[in-house]
Amino acid sequence: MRCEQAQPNLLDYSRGLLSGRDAAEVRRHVAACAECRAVAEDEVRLASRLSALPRPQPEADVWGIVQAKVRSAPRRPSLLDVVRRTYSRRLAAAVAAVAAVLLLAFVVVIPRQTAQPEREAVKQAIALMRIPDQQADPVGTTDAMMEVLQREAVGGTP
Amino acid sequence: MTSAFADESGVSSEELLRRCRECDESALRELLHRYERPVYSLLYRMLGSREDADEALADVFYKVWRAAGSFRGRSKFTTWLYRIAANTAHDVLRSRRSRPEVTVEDVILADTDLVGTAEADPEQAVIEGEQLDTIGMAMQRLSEEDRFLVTLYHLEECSLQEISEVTGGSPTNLKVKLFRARQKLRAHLGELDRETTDEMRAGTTEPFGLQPGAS
Repeated sequence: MRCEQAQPNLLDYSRGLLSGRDAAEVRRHVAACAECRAVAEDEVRLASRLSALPRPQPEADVWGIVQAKVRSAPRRPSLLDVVRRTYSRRLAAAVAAVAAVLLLAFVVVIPRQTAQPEREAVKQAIALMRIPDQQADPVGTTDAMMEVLQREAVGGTP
Repeated sequence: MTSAFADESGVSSEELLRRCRECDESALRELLHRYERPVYSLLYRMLGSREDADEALADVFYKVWRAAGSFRGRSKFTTWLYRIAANTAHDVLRSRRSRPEVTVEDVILADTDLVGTAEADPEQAVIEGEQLDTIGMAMQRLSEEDRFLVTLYHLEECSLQEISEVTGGSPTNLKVKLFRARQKLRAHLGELDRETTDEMRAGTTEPFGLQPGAS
């Protein structure tokens, strides 16, 4: 360990705050380095003087000043806060209801969308059934209709 | 910040802040009651003047009131509060720098004068002046960032992890920064000692911080 690495750790080392491995490295370095031993003494002395500095307390009536500032520029709670405070339970119920509707939509609509090709095939078959009625050609109509229905039964999509 | 800040009642500071959002003044008063000492101590050390620290303290809690809605709870309340305090102190220092006729030394000397003039007994004023620790003066010669770090770590007894949440940067880097700040502080203490010695050699018997002729 070099001096630049050891010195930032000297205060923690002297306070016993370093982990075992780091403490051992610093201990070895300090044992061999007179400069770092002197720095360690300075660090401890300075930290002690700093922690002895007085913590002054406010002299003014700070609450009076703060309250005057607050009242000179009144602030309304935001719309969101008002809604949140007034309707928090109703809001939660509404959110739950919306979530339920969305879930239902997913459950019902998505399977219907996946069944779309089959429905199209049936529509096509029905349309084919109507044409022979108009054209009086029952044989050709039945064949075309059966062809479409068979394709769907096999699983293919026209 | 668990060390300097201790909740006295069962209501969390975050809950009090939520009530501030709803314009509950009593919640703001409770927050002030809880945190005015550590915040004032920080502001005093940053600004070096009681008068400025008093004003800044009121500003900090007014900003808490105004900005309560912007607190998202991603950090601890105390981290957020210290950031507001740091920004407030920075604004005061910047405004002081924009008035070059007012130096940090002037502000501190004004405090010293206040101690002297407040006492009817001149001898008492001298004793009060002597009690002003040179280390407080030396701290005022540090950069704003160094002073902030030293105050949080050594006076407010915040951990490196807690400071890193306020200032950013890793605890390891902060440890190195703090060491360098203490080195500079030692250098400033040495300068102050030399200045005091020079003043005494020049025939000035006044303690450091009291200008000859100031009354």
